[in-house]
Amino acid sequence: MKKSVTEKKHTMLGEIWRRFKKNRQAVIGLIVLILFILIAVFAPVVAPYGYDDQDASRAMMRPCTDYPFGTDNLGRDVMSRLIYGSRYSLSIGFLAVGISVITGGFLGIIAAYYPKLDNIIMRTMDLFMAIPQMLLAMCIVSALGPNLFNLMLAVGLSSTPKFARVVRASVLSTREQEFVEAARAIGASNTRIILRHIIPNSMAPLIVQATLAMAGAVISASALSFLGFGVAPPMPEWGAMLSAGRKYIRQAPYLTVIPGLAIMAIVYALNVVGDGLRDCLDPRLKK
Amino acid sequence: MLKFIIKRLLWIIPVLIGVTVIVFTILYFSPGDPAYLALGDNATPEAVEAYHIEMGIDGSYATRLGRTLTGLLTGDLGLSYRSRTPVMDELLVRFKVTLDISAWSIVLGIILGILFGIVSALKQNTIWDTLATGCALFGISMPMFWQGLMLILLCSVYLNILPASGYGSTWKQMVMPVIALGVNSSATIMRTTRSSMLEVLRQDYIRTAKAKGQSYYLVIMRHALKNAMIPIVTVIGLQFGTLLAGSIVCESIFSIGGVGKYLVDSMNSRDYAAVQGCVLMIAFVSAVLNLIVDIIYTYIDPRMKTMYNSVKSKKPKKGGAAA
Repeated sequence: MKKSVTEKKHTMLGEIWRRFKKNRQAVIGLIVLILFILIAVFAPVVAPYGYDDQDASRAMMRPCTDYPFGTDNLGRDVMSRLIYGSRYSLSIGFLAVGISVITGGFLGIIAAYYPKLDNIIMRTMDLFMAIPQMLLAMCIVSALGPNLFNLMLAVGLSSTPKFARVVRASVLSTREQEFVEAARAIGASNTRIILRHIIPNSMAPLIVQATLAMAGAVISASALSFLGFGVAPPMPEWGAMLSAGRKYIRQAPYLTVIPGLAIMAIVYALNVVGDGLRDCLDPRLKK
Repeated sequence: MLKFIIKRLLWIIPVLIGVTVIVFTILYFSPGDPAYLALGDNATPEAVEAYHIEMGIDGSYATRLGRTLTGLLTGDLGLSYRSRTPVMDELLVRFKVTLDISAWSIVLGIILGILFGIVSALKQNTIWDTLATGCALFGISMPMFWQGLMLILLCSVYLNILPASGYGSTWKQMVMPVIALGVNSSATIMRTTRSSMLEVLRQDYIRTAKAKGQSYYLVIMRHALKNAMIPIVTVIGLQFGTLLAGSIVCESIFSIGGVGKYLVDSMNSRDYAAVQGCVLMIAFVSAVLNLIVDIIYTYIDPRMKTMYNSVKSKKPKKGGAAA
């Protein structure tokens, strides 16, 4: 391919990356995130033991060279459990936000594009917004029954209204642009205008919101598991591990400290990446 | 202005009805019959039916929803499936506890948040700014329940200076829950304060105020902070709602008998009448808080008052004011 040409042209993605990498914190966050993803994907290779390998003879061992993060009351290696647990946190983060992007995005676009439905949709969203997100997620999970998929669904659906608002606002400003008018003038159908012109051009705030919402989703999912409404033991979800380790906080504090640090690391990474993306995608801050 | 307040107060009613319908519908599809939980698995069909009638949970979806809504209008939230006592009585007692903790937490959050936000905006790009924004980022990344547990570990297990749980016997029991909840919201408030202040400090009128020899302190407090307040107040209002939800986790950690713990306990024992009552209570308080935030706006920015006053007039100038 003509490499030199693309370099000179500064493609949109290249431009975004150029601005993004100036923010050192965001780059570190991205690296941490990629590390977590790799660990989650290659969990069986990386983890020294299985996530549910019980061995009473090695129960409650403090962190040492064999077990860097110690073992829990059933003699399971905490590090291996954490490594497998990253699969839960990441998949909950991505899929829950995926659910809210799709549902919220759909409602937001419809509301912005069809003024007749706007009031009905947005007032309904307002009603959902009146219930704190965490509460809504709790209700949904208890209605569906606590398991991994329902947890994702609950966390995702509970932030749908937020996404509907962001997308609606963004689409409302995009649809006034000239290129949309031009597309309409040459007779493009509504579906085509929405899919080919409006969506690609209203993506920026959605991407930022999605990254930050992922951080929120990881926290609320682990909080729900912590309270016993999420992933049930023996699955090594970090919130559930924390909640199980809490009983031994006096004898084995590392059982609560370490899973919390893991949650914090991933949420921190998502937050700085989100902030970095906002700084380089937000046109108001363009230099 | 009074008209606006009354109008907004009345607006809370349809919101509450809507929230009731949503919560009722979600919980309606929850599995398990509370009768069997209350009476045991071997209950006779007659006993189950009698229990249903006593609790007001017999009949179709529509009749039950209608009953719930009429109850709501008279301030009756139904009977708890567990204790067979009115949910409302239980909630009122517990709500004081939750409100007590949330109020102290938001005060802590506001003080820390605004203070560090201002400092970090004034010293932008210095070590203090980096430090403060870094801490705030950690603050929002820390799960509140973990922070609470770490506080217990530090203050109760290692230092042994604060009691790990309970509420009401000494002020010491309040310290950790308030810090856990307050620090979390202060991080968000700090970030908003910082960005809002940075925007205002760039304005011409700040330069004018400095140029005319106004003291540094007055420029910051009277000219900058006051104009930066609108987004900050919005965030504080939102944070209070988050705090109420956060108290669910917080109260479970510190074994505090507030609405949050009641909610978790009710959920675990499938006491959906109590769950619904808790959610409604929290939604109601959030709605009232939103109203208060809107009223505070008019004190900060008198231009908004004219906007509210013109709500009733035939052609409200929505253009600039609504944005």
